[in-house]
Amino acid sequence: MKYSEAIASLEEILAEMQKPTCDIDLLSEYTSKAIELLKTCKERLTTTDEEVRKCLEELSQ
Amino acid sequence: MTPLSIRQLSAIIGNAIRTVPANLCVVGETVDLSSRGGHGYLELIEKDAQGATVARIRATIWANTLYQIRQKFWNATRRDITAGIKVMVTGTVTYHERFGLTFNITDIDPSYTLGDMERIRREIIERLQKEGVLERNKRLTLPPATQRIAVISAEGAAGYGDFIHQLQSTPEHLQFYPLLFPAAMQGDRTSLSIRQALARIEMSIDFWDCVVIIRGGGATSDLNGFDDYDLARAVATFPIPIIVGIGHERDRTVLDEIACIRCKTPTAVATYLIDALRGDLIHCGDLAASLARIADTRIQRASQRLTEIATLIPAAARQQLADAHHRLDITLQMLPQRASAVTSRASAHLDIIAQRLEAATDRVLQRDTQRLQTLTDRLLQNATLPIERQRQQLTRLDDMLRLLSPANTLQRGYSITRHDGKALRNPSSLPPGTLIETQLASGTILSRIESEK
Repeated sequence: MKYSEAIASLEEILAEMQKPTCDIDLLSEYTSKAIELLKTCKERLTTTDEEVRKCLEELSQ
Repeated sequence: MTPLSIRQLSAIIGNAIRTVPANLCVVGETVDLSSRGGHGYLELIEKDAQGATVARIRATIWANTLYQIRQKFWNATRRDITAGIKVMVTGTVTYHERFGLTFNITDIDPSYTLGDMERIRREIIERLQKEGVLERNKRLTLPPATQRIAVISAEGAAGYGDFIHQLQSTPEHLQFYPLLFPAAMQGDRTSLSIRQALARIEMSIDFWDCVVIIRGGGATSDLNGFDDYDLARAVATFPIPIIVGIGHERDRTVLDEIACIRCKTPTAVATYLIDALRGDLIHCGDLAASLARIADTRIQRASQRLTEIATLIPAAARQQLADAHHRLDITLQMLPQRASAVTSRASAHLDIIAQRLEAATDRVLQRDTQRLQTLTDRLLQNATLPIERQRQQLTRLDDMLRLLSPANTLQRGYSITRHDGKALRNPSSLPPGTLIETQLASGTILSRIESEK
């Protein structure tokens, strides 16, 4: 998943949760999904992506 | 005529040259710059409209003025005096027997060069504008999480080293993936070299978030190579955002005008990228905070609602009960009124039915009475008639009967013989001695049978 897509769906989930019609039954599902996406995003920014590293090595050859 | 020695010829030329006025102001284009023993050597040329050189003169700047002239030029233009620029200089034509003719430059007017550079830049920008590509790269935006960075710089240059070092030492351990695409960042090859690097990047364009063009060299490197139409067009039409860090505060190249993002130095480019990624990280943090807040608010609101509902239940129940009571009361109050209304309505109805019944009965009775009367009349009429007729017939029959009666017959002398009450018609059935009874008109004789005759 692309970072921008992850952020977009994260914001979508938050917006969904803010709606007055939000089902309380779905709250935990939304929350865990949002946390998962947040984790992915933060990792993308701060943790080395080995796949990207490999691509870089191939490109620099 | 005695031939002249070279020295003599040189002396004549030298004398002639000395008649040329000193401190002439001259404009021309610089070529073939070099420096030997602290002195500056170059040529000044003039080109025609087609770009062909139509005049050329050697020029020198002595070491004692070279430093001041360079400094003056640098302060105004932020560039070194290099080949290929237009200059306005003041100097004197000198002639030396051994070194020949040269134009000795003693002063320079940088504003002329500035004006010319400005003209070149303006022409490039106008051309790109006409071609509709001037703003193309500027309109692009850095994607979120810009991490994969294609760097165009000179290999081993200080600016590049600073850039990489800065990217890789953020306190948050932000991840960047820079890759160097080496290019010449000064001199005549600048434009072509950078364009070749861009072409290499474009081969793996999907991999990159942006391109960074940073000047590798020191502060004194020249920037003329950047004010080039082909390079400017390549940057303007590049499909992903380009960040340039080649200019200076006071000196902008064409690339500064057309690249997506312009920073002053390589370090500033690094700072820009770090800030952008830090912004993404902060955004993540904000989203996390929002998530917590929203979830909390949701739950709070739900539990609040629950409490509200809970408190509403007794009141609602009481209300319902009260309502029910009230309705019952009203019904009860209304009951007699309703009942009497119903009763009177029913009784009225009954009355009507009774009246109708009576009327109907009357009608039937009347009709039947009439019919009965008619029948009676007819009966009476019809009944007397046959009786009368019967009586007349009876009278007649009586007369006849009287004529035919045994008494009458007896009167006329006939008698009836009976045995056991039965009239005898045949003597043979009775034995002699049988007692028989003979009726006459005025009496009866008992006799015994003697015999049969």
